Amino acid sequence: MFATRPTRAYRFGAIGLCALLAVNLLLAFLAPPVRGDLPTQTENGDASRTVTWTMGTSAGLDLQGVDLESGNATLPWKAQNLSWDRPGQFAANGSFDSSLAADPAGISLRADSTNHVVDGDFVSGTPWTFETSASGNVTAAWNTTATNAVFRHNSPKTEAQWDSLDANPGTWAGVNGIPWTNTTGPHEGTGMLGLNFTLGPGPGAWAGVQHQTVVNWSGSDRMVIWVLPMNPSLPLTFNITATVGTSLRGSTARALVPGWQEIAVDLRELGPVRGSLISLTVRVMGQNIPSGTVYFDDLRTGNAKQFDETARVRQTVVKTNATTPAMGSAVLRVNWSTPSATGVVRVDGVVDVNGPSGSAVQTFPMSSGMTWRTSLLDFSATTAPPGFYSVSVGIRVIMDNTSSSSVEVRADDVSLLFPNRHNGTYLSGAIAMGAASEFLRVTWAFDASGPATLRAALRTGNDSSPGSPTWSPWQVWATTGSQPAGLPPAAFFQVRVDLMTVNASVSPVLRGMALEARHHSAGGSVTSAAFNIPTAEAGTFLHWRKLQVRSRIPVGTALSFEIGDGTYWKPVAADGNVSDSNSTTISWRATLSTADGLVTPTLERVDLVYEYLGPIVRVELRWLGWPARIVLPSGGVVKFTALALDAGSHLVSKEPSRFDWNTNDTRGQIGIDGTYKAGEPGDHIVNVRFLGTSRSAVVSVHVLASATWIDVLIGYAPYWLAILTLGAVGYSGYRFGIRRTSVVDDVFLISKDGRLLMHNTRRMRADRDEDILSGMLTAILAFLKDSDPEENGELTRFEIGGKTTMLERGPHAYLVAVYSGRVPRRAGKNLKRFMTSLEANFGDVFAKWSGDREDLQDLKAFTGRFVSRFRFRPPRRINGRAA
Amino acid sequence: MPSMPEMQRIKTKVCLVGEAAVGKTSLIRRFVQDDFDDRYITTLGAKVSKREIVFDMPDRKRIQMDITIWDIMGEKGFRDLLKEAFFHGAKGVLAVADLTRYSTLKELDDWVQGVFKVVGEIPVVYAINKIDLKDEVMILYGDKEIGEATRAFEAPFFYTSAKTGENVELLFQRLGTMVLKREGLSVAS
Repeated sequence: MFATRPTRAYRFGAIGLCALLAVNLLLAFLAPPVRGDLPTQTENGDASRTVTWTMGTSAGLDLQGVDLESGNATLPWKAQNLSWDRPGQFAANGSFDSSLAADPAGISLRADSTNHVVDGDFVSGTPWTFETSASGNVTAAWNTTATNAVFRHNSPKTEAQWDSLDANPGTWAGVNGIPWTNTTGPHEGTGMLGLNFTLGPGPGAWAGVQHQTVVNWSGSDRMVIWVLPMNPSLPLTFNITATVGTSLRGSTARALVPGWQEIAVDLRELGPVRGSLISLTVRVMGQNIPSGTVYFDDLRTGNAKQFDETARVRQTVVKTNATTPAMGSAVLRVNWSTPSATGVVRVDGVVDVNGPSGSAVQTFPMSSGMTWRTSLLDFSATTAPPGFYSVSVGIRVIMDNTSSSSVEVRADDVSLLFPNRHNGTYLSGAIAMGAASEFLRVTWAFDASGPATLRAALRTGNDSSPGSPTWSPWQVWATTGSQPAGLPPAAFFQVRVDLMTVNASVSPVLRGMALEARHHSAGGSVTSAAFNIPTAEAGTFLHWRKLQVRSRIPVGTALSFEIGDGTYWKPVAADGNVSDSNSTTISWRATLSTADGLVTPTLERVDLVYEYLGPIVRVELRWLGWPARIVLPSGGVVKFTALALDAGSHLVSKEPSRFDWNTNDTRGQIGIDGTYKAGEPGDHIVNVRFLGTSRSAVVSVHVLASATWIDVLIGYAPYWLAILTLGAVGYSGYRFGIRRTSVVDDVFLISKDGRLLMHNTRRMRADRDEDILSGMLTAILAFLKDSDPEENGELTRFEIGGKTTMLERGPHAYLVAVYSGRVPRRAGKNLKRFMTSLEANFGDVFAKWSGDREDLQDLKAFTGRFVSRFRFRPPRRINGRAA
Repeated sequence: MPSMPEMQRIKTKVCLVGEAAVGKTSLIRRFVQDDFDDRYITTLGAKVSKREIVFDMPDRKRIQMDITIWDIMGEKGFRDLLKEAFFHGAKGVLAVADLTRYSTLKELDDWVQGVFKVVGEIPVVYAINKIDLKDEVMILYGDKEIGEATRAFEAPFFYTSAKTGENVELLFQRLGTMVLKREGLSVAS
């Protein structure tokens, strides 16, 4: 298919379209920019100009708390960050469960620090029972002086020296060794019995000293001797042997250690009959000792003191709460000291906590001369359930000695703690952000691991009652660090932190929280620099007409305007009317505010329109009876007034001498003052032109052919009508004067709380706002009544400003009538009658009046009757009710 | 051309209360019609001014609320003396405190209770005034304390400035909305 050349008509159409687009582009280029920094003026064509400010840059604008963004003035975002890094900040904004505790490290689960042991410091000793051991060998007592518990055992020695071994006058003979006496370094006395020996490699090798006579130890069951093996003769063991009857018997071998050692031998091992011990030998045993030495000293015999007894102090404690059996859930603490513990086999501390889960005895050795020290004992495993627990602290003494014995152990400051940590919750109140805010990120800092866990949560709402329908569900975090908040924007937020543990000894720790949020600042303003009407135009400037803006005012925001000239500011009414401003200098101030931090009002453009006296664009004519058609008899007269107006209908001139008057009524006359006298009957025109211009106006007049009486009457109709009107007014005034000696200017019907129910006035407009006046009048009457109840309580009349004001009170409202001139004597009664009628018809309405004027529609006519008539006569029925 | 919305007019009375020198009279001065001299407040104990606000209602109706504002002298003795007369018939309370004096916030509780004793519970809005001084003097209380003070009355609060006019317009808007809501009228959102 071949393309065909456009026809001539289409070609012209295309060229025309292109030309139109080009012109539009050129116009767009030449047109003033939409956005400007400084105000621009545009001519409106009606003798007014518009001064326009746009919000492109801040030039010529004073911005207070306002940002310019994309050609709009807006309230900026304001960071509303919050950081709680101290427990005190959490506490100040909320409340802790009783199971939570705060310290500088953070918020954690509180350990129950109550000491369940009463009088643990033994000040009174009252709750304790002091239990001496079963056989009375160990006593338990209350030390009233030192206020502690004291456990004691004391017993004398039962042994006696049998041979000091200071010398050996043939008493002892060496067996497998050579005895000798050494006087240097004995353990006791002046000397000791030494034995030099050699032990061969075979088992059972021994050496000893043997008593040379028969020994009678039938009265003793213990032999005690000091032994000192000399190095390097170890290992060696020690025992004694003797022949009883025909049997050789020996004691259990005891290993020797370096240094002096006291060895007690149970003689009962030699048999029950020990009255004739033959060849009593004190021996050392070993192997492969080519040259050894051992010393013996201070050999004693006696009877052993033997017992294993425990004394204790005891009291019963009550545990009310269950705890976990985990370590740390029950800790007993006791302080011990052991001034002496000698001559005994062993002394142990014994602590027992005995309860529903059974007994848990813990023992530990005690050594002599031990100063005060603390024992911490865990009883968690056996104290989990609540109940009664018997707590005892004591000592166990094991005795198997022949020497003198002395034991004294003291116990003090006994306590039993159940940490008993419970899950706890921190809950803040509703924290106000100052305005609805966006929540960006939240940062949590806490320690929680193992058995301890922590759950942090936030929710937001728009009132101060958390949980109300405006509140969101909880948003929960279980990990630390900065994370997206993910919360709905709102004006309030609430914090909840649950601290949990499954081990009473371990607690999570909440260290802090930080919240990043923002909202628009609450308010700000934009003030323009003063704009001056250009000097060349100042002479024709009349006044400002209106302020109009291009803006966006979302719900919850407000935008108000004031104008001024640098010496004052006054608010601009909602309709933007500023026609009472006639200063050639003007500036405006816009106040932006928001109660909803999420939205901001925006101001894009401000226009101020002013009017000026422009050139004359038209002339108009006026006459008596205008705009009625002019009909007059020949010889009749009409007075014309010419008005020269500009494009805004401003009056430029009405001076008759500045107009050129003409008529085509050849027999008629038109004067330079605009007075036309009709001449030739028929239709004519009267023409007027403003001198020096072509602006003119024309009016038609109809002149009647003959001046009959009716024609004259018609021709002079305005004058007759005026005379008749004056007559009517005069007659009415006469009747009015007859009927009234005064007039009621105003009637105010005011509710008891000061709100104006109705105002009827004879005047054109009130001098002051009637609502304000009613309120002030109510305040004044209340003040007068209070200041002098007797004098002013029933004030019914007062004079002010040459007028008389009368008051009449009803149950729900009161009536104020303002009279001009003399007040008739019956005015009071008349007012009272009117008030009674008002209450009868509208009392219920007054009592329940919400302020809606619709509720009082019938009242206007009712009060009008009072104002318009000299004497009030109640209507027969109002609102269907008898008057 | 769209038709003009139907206009309903309602008259209401609100009381402006608070301690002396918190800025009550100054706070509203630029926002009200004020025909009488301020000296009436000290001689008479109150002065009445007026503010007209137009509210758009959901059903294309509009309500013009003519609010007479009773500016009550901030002396407690005076409050007790004339409270019956001045508080009678009030439909709302504008309670004003000074941000720089914590005591003025605490005293508002008595002022509001004083109004409630006369007219029962009515809407209350708190104005925490002199916010323009926040950077010049030490502020001893904030949202938490204000929240506690207003909670009992379910009263919203605004930080305001008589000097800059900040939030004053919103005060009237909010109180007017609350009064209308109490009368069963909801303002268009």
